[in-house]
Amino acid sequence: MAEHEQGSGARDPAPHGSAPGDPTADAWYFAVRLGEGRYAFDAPLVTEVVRLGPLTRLPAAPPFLPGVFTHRGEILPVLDLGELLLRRGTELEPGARAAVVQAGPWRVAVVADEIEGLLSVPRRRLEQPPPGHGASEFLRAVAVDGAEDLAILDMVRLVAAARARSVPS
Amino acid sequence: MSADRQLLLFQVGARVFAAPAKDVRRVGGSLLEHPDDGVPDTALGRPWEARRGLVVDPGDGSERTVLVDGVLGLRAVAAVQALPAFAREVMATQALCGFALIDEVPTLVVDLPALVRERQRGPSAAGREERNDHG
Amino acid sequence: MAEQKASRRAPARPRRGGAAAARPRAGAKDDATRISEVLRAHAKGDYAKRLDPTSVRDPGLAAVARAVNAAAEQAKVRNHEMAARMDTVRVGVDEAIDAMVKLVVQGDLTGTLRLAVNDAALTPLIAGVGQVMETLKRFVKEIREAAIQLSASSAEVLAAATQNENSTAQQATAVHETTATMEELKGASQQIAENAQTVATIASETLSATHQGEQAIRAFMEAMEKVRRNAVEVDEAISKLSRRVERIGTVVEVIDEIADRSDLLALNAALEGAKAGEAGRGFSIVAQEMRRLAENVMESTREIKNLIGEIREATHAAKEASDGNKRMAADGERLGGAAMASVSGILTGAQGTSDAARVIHLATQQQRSATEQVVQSMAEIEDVTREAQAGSRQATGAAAGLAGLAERLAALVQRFRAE
Repeated sequence: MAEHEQGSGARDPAPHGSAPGDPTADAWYFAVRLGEGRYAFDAPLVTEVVRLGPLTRLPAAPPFLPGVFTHRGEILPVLDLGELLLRRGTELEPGARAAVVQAGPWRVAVVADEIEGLLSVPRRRLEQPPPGHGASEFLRAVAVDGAEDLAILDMVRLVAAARARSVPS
Repeated sequence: MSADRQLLLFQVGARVFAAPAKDVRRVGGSLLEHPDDGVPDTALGRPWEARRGLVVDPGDGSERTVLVDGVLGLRAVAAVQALPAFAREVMATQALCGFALIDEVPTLVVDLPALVRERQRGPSAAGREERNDHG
Repeated sequence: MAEQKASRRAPARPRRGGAAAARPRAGAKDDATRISEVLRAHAKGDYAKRLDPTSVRDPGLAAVARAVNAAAEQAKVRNHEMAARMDTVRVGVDEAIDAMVKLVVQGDLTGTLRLAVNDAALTPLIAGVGQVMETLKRFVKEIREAAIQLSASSAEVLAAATQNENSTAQQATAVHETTATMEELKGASQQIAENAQTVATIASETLSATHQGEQAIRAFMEAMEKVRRNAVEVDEAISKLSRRVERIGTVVEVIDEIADRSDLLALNAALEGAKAGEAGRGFSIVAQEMRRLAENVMESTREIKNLIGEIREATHAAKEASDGNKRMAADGERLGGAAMASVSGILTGAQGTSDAARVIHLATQQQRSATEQVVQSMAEIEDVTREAQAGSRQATGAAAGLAGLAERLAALVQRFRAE
């Protein structure tokens, strides 16, 4: 279990094209696996990686919110990324990993098929997402890291859209 | 012991919920006793057997009976934690007070009168209205 | 042949003599002696010797001398005649011999013997030869007939012998085949005997097994009867139990309701206590106790209800089992009856089989010894037949030889023409 505490004001990741930062520097992302694909979002958003406790299911909750659990006295809502992006519920085993993410004002515990962890990608590897890619609305970039493509998500927008229940079906 | 922290535990279907004791006028028997003012279906779901009814005042002085599978008892808790903001935002109902840790299990504390009002008005309307309230 | 008178002691010298009486030397020889000499010469066959009667002094002796001369003359003539006759006979005999030779060499028996010469002395010879010829003719005829008969007979014999040989050969073959068949039969009957033994064994085993089976079926049927009686008892017991259980159920329902209501009351009491806050604490506690009591009662009634449920299920199952048992017993009795019938059938059959098998066994044993005897006999027959075959082969050979001989004889006899 990796613990990765960042300052409260997470720096904004540099958008593709404009480079207030060094173009040759690496960008840090947090990677997860959903089905066959790899997704990542800005590493500074992740406050910690935890293990899921027993979930309390909520009545009348949307499918991407399977429930809440308590972690060190705090009640955390669980956000199922698979359900949100692929409309496919993630199978949650007790003790599965979750990444606690602060996405704007919203604090959620993100679950996926596999929580991988931090990785850095050279900025020059970042490319425009090809058209027709699933969840392209929330895709900021794609990167080829090693042998696999990496879909860089705009997590803040994604969570806000989820909250507004305006994630397209 | 504060009256605000007394919770009545009840069961709808497989799930256990809690409600502030002060919201419950009394506990009633089966549906046969309250055929007209029974509220069988709420955001909490539909009970299997409806052996008990929670008699509440929705806010207008009347009495409505929320039908439940069973009443488990009374508990006193130290605090009721607010719902995580995201959860509250995405739930279909706003008739929720928060969570109470009962036997280390986060148990949803329900606002029964609000629940009944929601049913009276319609659930989607309740959701929108409440969200606007929160701003 | 006239002999010259030969001097008696003088060397013979041919003298031309004639009938002129030779003048003895006025000799002293006595006339008798001279006559005797002539007679002796005549006795020797010299009839040419004569005496001159004139030379004889004695008149009597002179007569004798003249007689002697006459006798000699007659003898001479007679000898002549005799000689001539002898010649004739000799010729006749030669002819007869020639004829005989002709007969023998040429086989011509057709003619009678005719001689060119005729002489009474030959008559017996002719008669004899004729007889011989007749006899020969007769013999030839007889022999020819016999030869023909012999030929025919020997042909018959040959044919018969050949047939005999064939039939003995056939017989030998037939006997051989029969022997082979008998051997097979012996083998088969041995097999049958063994099988019969097996069958007999199986039959007797079947018998004893079936007896056991019979007993088992009887026991089974008794058990079925017991089951049926038992099932009836069980039925009654189950009915009693069901009724009792239903009564308990009713009572429990009542208790349950009461407990439930008590629970409700206690719940509300506790609720009021909670709402009253501090003031209601004692109340709440009492209410809690009540609830606990009610819960206990409800727990018990729940247990009893579960138990009743289980009893009902068990009763139902028992009833079904009992009904099943009754049906089974009925079926069992029916089946047992059928089985008994079958068993009786088997027993009878097995007994029959056993008897039959024993009979077969005995019969085949007898048959086997009989067969063995037959085989034995057949072997002997075969030997005899083989001998007969050999014999008939010999006979055929002999008959062939005989026929050959007959042919030769016929050919021989063919030479004699008797007709």
